[in-house]
Amino acid sequence: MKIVNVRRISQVFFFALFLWFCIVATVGERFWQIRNWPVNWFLQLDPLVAFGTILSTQTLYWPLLWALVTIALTIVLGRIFCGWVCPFGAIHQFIGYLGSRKKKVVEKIRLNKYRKAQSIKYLVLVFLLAMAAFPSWASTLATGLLDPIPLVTRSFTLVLLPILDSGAHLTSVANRYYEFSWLIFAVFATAVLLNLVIPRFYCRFICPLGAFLGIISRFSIWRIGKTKSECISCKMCEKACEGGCEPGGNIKIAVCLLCLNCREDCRHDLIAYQAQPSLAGETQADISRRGFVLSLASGVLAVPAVRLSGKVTSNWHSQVIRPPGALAEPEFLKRCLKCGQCMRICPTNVIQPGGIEGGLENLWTPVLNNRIGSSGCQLNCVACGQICPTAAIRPITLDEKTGQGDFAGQGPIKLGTAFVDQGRCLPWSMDKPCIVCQENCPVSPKAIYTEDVFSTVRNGIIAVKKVKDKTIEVDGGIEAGKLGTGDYFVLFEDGNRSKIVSNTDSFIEISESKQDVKKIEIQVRLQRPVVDIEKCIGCGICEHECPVSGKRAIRVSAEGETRSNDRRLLLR
Amino acid sequence: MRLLSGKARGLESAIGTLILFVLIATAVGVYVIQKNVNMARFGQGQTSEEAPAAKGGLNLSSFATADFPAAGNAETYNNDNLYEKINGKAPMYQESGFVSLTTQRFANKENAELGLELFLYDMGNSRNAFSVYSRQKRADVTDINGIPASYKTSNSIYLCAGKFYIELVGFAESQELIDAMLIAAKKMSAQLYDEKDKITELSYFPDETVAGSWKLQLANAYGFDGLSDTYSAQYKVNDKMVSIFFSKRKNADEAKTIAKSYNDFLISNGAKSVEPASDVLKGLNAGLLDFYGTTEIVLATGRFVAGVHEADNRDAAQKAAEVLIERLNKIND
Amino acid sequence: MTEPNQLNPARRQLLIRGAKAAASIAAAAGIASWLSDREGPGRGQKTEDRGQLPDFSAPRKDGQVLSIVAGQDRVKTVAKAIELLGGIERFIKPGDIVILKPNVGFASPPLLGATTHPDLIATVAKLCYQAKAKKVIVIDNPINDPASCFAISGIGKAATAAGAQVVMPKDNQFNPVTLKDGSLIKDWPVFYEPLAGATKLIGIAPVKIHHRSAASMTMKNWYGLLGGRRNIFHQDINGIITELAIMVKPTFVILDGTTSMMTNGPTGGSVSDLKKTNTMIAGTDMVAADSFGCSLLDLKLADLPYLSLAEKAGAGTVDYESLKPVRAEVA
Repeated sequence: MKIVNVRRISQVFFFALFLWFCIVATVGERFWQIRNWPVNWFLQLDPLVAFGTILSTQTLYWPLLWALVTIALTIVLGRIFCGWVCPFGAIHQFIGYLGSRKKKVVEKIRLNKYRKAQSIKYLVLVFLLAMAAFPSWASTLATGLLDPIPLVTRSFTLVLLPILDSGAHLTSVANRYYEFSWLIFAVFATAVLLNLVIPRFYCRFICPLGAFLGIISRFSIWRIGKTKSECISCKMCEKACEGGCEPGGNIKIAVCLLCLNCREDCRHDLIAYQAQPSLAGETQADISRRGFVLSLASGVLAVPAVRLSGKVTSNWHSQVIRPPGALAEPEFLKRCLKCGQCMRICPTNVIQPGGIEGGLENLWTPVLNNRIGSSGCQLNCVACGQICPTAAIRPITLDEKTGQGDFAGQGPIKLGTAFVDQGRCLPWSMDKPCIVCQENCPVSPKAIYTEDVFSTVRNGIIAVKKVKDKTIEVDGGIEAGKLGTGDYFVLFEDGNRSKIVSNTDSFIEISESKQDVKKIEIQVRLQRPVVDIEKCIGCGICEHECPVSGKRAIRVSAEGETRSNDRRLLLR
Repeated sequence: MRLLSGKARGLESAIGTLILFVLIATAVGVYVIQKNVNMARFGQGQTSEEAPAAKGGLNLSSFATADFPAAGNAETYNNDNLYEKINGKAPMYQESGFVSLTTQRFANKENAELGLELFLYDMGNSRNAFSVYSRQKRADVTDINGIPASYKTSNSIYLCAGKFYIELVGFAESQELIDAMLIAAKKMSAQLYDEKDKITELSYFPDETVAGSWKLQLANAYGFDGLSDTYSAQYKVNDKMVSIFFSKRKNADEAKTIAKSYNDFLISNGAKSVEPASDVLKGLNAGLLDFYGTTEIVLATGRFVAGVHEADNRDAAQKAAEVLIERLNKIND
Repeated sequence: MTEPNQLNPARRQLLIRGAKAAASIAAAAGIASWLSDREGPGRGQKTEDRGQLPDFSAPRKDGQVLSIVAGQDRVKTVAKAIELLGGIERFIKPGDIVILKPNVGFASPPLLGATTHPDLIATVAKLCYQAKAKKVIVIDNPINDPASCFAISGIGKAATAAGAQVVMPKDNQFNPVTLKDGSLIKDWPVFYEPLAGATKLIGIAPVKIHHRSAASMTMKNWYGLLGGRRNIFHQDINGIITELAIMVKPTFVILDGTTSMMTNGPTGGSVSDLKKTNTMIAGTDMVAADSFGCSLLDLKLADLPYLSLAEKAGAGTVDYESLKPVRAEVA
């Protein structure tokens, strides 16, 4: 069996596994649902995730110990992760293959030439890591933006899967919506389409993980190299070279991704995966000192510069409502990979990728939008915290979320508080009965209570022609059938009220007899919702259910969220 | 050392095969891991033992047993939204002094389908609770030993304790479920029952009344709006069942008035007055009526309105009425 | 051609590389296990809780707990008031680092009586230096912008002229404090840094009516040590003033009733808001001082619930007459 075929099988296997993990990341017990599938395995194997979080939090969250496996294998064998495992790399390789299939051999060899620009990815790596490391009081984890595993994860789960599944609904119950997906898609599509220009474009020029692995593969025991120092230079070995490392000459070993195509294509058996450096010469990673210093400085300054906007402190955006269990903002930004797993698994589709309204660092971080999805944040669900690979959203228990059991003293986790927009609320301003928000408030006792008010309807003062028993005859001014809903009352001059049972356009039937009535007022009983901010947990179900469906008449914003001391609404 | 130099196919194949085994092992590993399902960690079901306290400082989850922990949150309903939970049955409760309803589901640890729902009705006082309990008592039920005012069916247990009417509704006919519900019912009865809530009127019935047949109609007993707070029970006379009833009024005058009104009410509905054979009844000026074949007796003795309803056998009816009168007279003194 | 009993260079190089590889793996594993975090991040934010404030109180001397001096010239009356308590030497010893905490809450001129009069700062600072204090520091965390408050109120200039140092509030000088048995001051930032290094604390407050708390005198003056978004405490103003009185234990306090703000407090704005009540109070019992101050504002004790709450909590005595205040008059 040819080793290159084994490699292809491996790439297909890991890609299929990755795709499967994307598909099953939805709550449920069927085999195509989450069960206990290790859906974060690729993110956990990714050493850039582990290393990035070590720099930003000075701890290594224990599930990320898997990264040691990748690191150990890379140190010993070289960049097998890139060539054999990485699903993003597999996509690039495949598209690159499709793009250059029809090209002549000479053209293919030219495309696979090593280019100095390939060291840009080291600068990307240094820049991202500097942002995570310095200064420690204002560091942010931006590696997730370009780290291939988070990137490909969010591209699939937040763009491709929802598009492909929008009719069949195999991976979710209803259409999934994700804001700002167009940008995620654009980045993904650009990266993929660039392979038509140069194969594995992203891997060669941009990928910070590849850069990292290239650096640590310095001491690998085995490497690709020539077994003779001279050959006829037919360059057949470079026809299908994935890394662009020029195995035919002085091999740029840090760039080699062990596709082993060169070994297969060499007609003279001169290329081997061997324990000695290539007899034609070997060069390590090419990082210019100037480039290193510039990237480092840029990374160090970038976060404080961005944070001048105050968006992480006093100028925080009230619509950045984070999922339950999220850490306070500065800590959260040190851990969030923008991988989109929380958005994927949220059963109500309420967690959305954020835009930059909360600052640049907010891009693609999880933000709740209660208008999207099936219901705001469900009371009995803690799925997002369970799936977050770096504990940016802590894996809280249901008890901690609802403030029961051991957490009864602390009370429930609040995401924010709901505010009634009285000018838009039907019972507050439009004389229309409605208490959908109060009915749907899931906490017990409810955080929305009502104040009963009787309000005379428009043109509601009506002269009475005659009254007999329980029937009042009026001279028009009322619409047949409209007043019998149980919400309408007749106010008599003596101050008493009686419920209207039914009406035609000239008769009103009330619930008790009345005599001697000259004039009545038709009133509607309005139950006006009031939020009890001590009980409100900001789950957004009220906002979701509000029938004023554009700009909702009750909206949640992040004041009062329990994750931040300085955003408290209440005294205690 | 040269590995895979040139086309060393043999070694290459061997290593390739080894790698394929690693891939297979990975797939197997992933498959094995996913079997370890623990849906509870995603929420949607299991809360801790301490559910939020229901009205009256009651912690519903404390009635869970080891095998049937609480599943889901307790729900509370008041007068406004009771219908959301029990729909058409709501008016019966609401007319009987309903204060609030708290419900809680419990489910078997191993088998989530095997569960039950606990309905805890706060009826305001023990008489109200007894009323809704007794009016809904199913036929062919078994009374439960050791728990006052309770009975069970094949899948549920019903009881009164203090001001609460309690239903434990099982989702399946299962002995395991019934056993668990019995434990919960005993706990609740012990916790909620209070001597001061005892309904003394029940002891006004003759001793030979069929146990567990007591009913309390708070209003409109037998369709007559004057008969409020009416207790009824089954009494056996010579193998014949007779429905006897009484209602304690403010004073003897009120009792006489109501008795007469009820009498007239029956007549206006087609009953025909009959001369009682019993001297006791004659002495009290009791009304004995033939109501389309069945016998109605209505009378006042002391502050009680009492009588017999819809009896098949006239003699048995009069006998039963006599026993009841004798009993009530003792109380009157 | 290789010698069998000698490592050829390729093999040696391989072994060296192998050793480096093994070392790197070991290093990676070592770092990973050292930093490994089994529990994940916790709920709370990690801040250093400095606990309680230092206790600056002076030992109690019966009969010299409260002094009330009538007079128009506050420079004279304050000196007299301190003298009646036993003189500055009772409180300030050589080498002391003294913190003066006036009310510098607003960028308001001394004329309007919304802030502590700068003459008091000058006088008290001078007295402290006379008692051979090592350093006098003036602090407050104003509501308006600190620089303009210290400038417009005249306190900044008066302090520097008397040789005292003004310390402006900066973020890194606040530490979270949790008052034991308190329910409001929980993990709340307090202007801690200057206090941590000091040995004596003197509060100096004007007498003002206050819209929310009824009055602002020596106890409310400590509100100026709170940081964060402290206006949240207005939801329970009496509770927070009580907790402040428990948390802060000054050496003594000075309540300046030379002019009292009778209306439109706490900012005032017109001279007509002020009344010449011509009284200076000093004492080691804040609650007593404020209780007396009530009378200058024509308020009853019942109008200030925090007085009895503070007394119940053991912070002082409401019945100031029982403390036998020393009275005097200065021409």
